[in-house]
Amino acid sequence: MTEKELILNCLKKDRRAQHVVYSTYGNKVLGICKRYMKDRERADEMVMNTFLLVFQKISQYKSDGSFEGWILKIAVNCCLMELRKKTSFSLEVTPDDIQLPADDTILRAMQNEDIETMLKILPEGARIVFNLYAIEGYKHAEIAEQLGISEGTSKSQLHYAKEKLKQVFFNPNLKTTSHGR
Amino acid sequence: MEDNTIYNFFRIRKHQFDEAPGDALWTRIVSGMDTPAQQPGKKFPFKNLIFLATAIVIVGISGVVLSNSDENTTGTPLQHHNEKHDAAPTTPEIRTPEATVTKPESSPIAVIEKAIAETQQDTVKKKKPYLAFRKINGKTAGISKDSIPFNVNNIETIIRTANGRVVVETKEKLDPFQFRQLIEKSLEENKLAVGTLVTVKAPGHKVFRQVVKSKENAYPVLISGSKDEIKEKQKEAINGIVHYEELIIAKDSLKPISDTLPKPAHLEFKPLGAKD
Repeated sequence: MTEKELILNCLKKDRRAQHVVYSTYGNKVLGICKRYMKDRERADEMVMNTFLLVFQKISQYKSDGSFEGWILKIAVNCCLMELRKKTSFSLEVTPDDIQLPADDTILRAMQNEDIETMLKILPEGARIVFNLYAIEGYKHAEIAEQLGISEGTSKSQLHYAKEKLKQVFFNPNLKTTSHGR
Repeated sequence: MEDNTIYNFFRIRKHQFDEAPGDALWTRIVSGMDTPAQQPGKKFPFKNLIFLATAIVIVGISGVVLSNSDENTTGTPLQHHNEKHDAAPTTPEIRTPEATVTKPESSPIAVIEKAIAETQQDTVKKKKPYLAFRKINGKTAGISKDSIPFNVNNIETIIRTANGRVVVETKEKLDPFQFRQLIEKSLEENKLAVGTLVTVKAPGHKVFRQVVKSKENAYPVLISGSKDEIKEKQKEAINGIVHYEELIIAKDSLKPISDTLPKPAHLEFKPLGAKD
């Protein structure tokens, strides 16, 4: 079944075609949701919301862009909509916001290049901005618009995230000893 | 370390997060699609309507309560509405001016027409205002308006009484001295109703409330010619007026006259049927 046929069948609300879409793009959608959301349950919920929206609004898809890109953008927007309600982008970071793992976990994450563990050390606001800027490639103005914050806040959150990651994972002096909490 | 190096490090490895979602999640999505009303992010579509309805109800209730608190009105807006409604002709074709003017009262047709009009008026269902919103007046809450109003220096008063409550009210604007006089008069009028809460209201004055004290707490009665002394003691100011309370230093009036009870009259018992 080609992508066009798949979309046409989804428009007819064919359950089989919808399941094909889910199984084809579900792993990437879940990947995005896991990157943005703090825990697995919320990520699953966002995956569900994403696919519900995809199947409801599939008539709005214009074939000039890639279908995968359209779905992944919906996934990002779903996560941002949810996070915008609950996330504080204040620069005051409390110890509860940062969950620094043990030294051996850090070393293991660095050896395995486990970015999931690495991103977990960031507070929610900084992690979202870092995700959007460094991984998705959004501009600060776009991030500010998406999250309803100022460009300055976006920049400062990114700076904080960068410095924290450098300090913990990319500092050669601290690799074998402490990570400088 | 360059910023771009860090960005690239994460960008290249972002697929580490990718993971195939399970069938359980698909089942949830299917059940979500089967219930069309539930859209993600819009869990309750009538939320705004409920807020609007609640706001309207609150505004309505507060409007009714505020209009009741107006001292000059004697009834609720609903009552006014009813009065207007009653006054309005329900059958204009019968109660036309021509019909009432041209036909004499005594003619049988006029009498019948009047009777028909009255009957039709009676069939109009009168709305009764909610009891909870009605102002305390002569018809509600067991408060009767039957007490005779008294005049203090030509101040017109309205008195309402209920079990354990007396409300003395005037619509006139009183100066502090007149208000004080009204309080004193009200207390004087109810001095025998021990335990009754006397409330005195006047526009522009703080509502006065006092429970009529029992006889034990009342002042002892002075015996004329006794050595009791009366001293006036300044009490706190009420509504800007300093008033005085009488302090009686009892010397004679509270002294027991006799330690013993008076002896009962001597009774003679005579056998039944005996002659005097």
